[in-house]
Amino acid sequence: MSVDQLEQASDATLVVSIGRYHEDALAEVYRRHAGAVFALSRRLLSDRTLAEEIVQEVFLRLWNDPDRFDPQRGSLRSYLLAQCHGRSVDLIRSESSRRRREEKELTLAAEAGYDLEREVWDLAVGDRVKNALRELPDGEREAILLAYFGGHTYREVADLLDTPEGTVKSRIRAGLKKMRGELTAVGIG
Amino acid sequence: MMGFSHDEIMELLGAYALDAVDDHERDAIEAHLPECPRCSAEVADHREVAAMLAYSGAPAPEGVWSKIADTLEEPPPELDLAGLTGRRPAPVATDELAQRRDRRDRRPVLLGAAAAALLVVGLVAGAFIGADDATPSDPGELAAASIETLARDALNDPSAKQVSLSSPDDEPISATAAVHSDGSGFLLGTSLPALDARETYQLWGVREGVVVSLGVLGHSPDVVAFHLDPTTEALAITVETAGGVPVSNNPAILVGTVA
Ligand SMILES: [Zn+2]
Repeated sequence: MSVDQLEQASDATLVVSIGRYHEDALAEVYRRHAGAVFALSRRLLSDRTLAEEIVQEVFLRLWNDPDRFDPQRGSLRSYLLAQCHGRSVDLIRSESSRRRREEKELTLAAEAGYDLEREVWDLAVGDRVKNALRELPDGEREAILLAYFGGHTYREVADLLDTPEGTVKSRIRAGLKKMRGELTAVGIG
Repeated sequence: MMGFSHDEIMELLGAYALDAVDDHERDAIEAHLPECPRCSAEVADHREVAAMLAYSGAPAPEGVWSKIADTLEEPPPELDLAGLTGRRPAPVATDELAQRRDRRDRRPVLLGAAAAALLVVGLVAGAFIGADDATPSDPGELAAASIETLARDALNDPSAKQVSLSSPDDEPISATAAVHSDGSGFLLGTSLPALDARETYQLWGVREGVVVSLGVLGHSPDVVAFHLDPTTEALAITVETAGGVPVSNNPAILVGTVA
């Protein structure tokens, strides 16, 4: 494919090319999505080197196993970000980073009232996504942000927010569903 | 599903999509998802929302791409087509070859579907060859004898491309193919030994690094008609189990460049 064709190709087409060992196609996917993948791993790990390793791993995995991406089941971007999130969270939860994590939780607990509003503002998300987040009930928004960007399980979120586990679990699901509805209604997602 | 009711699984889907469940819960959900389109769709939706939360216009990290590019596995020597490009392939360590084959093994879907489609096209087209020349309307009536005639004509037609297939291992076997500009081709003059009936020779075309099946030749091929994309760069023949395969993992016993 020429540069023009690459730039105009859909993500799904690029993945097919990757399956045929076209390095240019992987480079184009990288150009499109690596920034978001890196920002997410960086945010979760707050360690630049580790975050870069995750980026490398996510894209190499796409190269080595492109068939794992099923365009019927969602966008390439969400697939790559889900891979990135899963790997980052694995690292956070691994033995080696337990200590760091415990320190982080102490810090969290010490900050009387986790500054969720700041978290939201820090997100480099579009206004519509911000609006959709803001319209969620506080409990749902907090639970989603702590789970997704804090890398916490819903049980940990329940501890942090001093809320029953079952409630947190339901709030995460309900919040995601509402956001999906909001975002679909305004034509994104 | 490890003691989880369907309702319990569903309640966990949001947390699951954010990687916020415990291992035993994740295992139960992942055992359930393949058999439940509804739950799978819900997880996919949640992940799209999560992806939007993560959205960031941040540029790709510096320096990481070059690290990735350095590690990329080279494309496999498709069908081990040694000598196709007219130069000797670099020696390849055995375990590296095994890895390359392993990669191909894991990816039957893309190549497989394409090859299977072309396999059908190739065989059907083969049966229809000669339709332009007022040959029988029923392709089934196209007798072996007339294929032979058409093949000889092709071989003697200066506008048809002649392909000499030879053994990359210098075995004393060979074959010749003649291909018209419309892609109709004939394989003839094979000196291939008859195989056990449980095996077959199979013909492949290579185009832009992609290998597609051009037809199953049988265990004792004589003259065979096939059809290929006119941009095909090379032909190869492998030995496969009877019936042929959508994707070959075997080395080519004969290869030839389409001049
Ligand atoms: Zn289900």
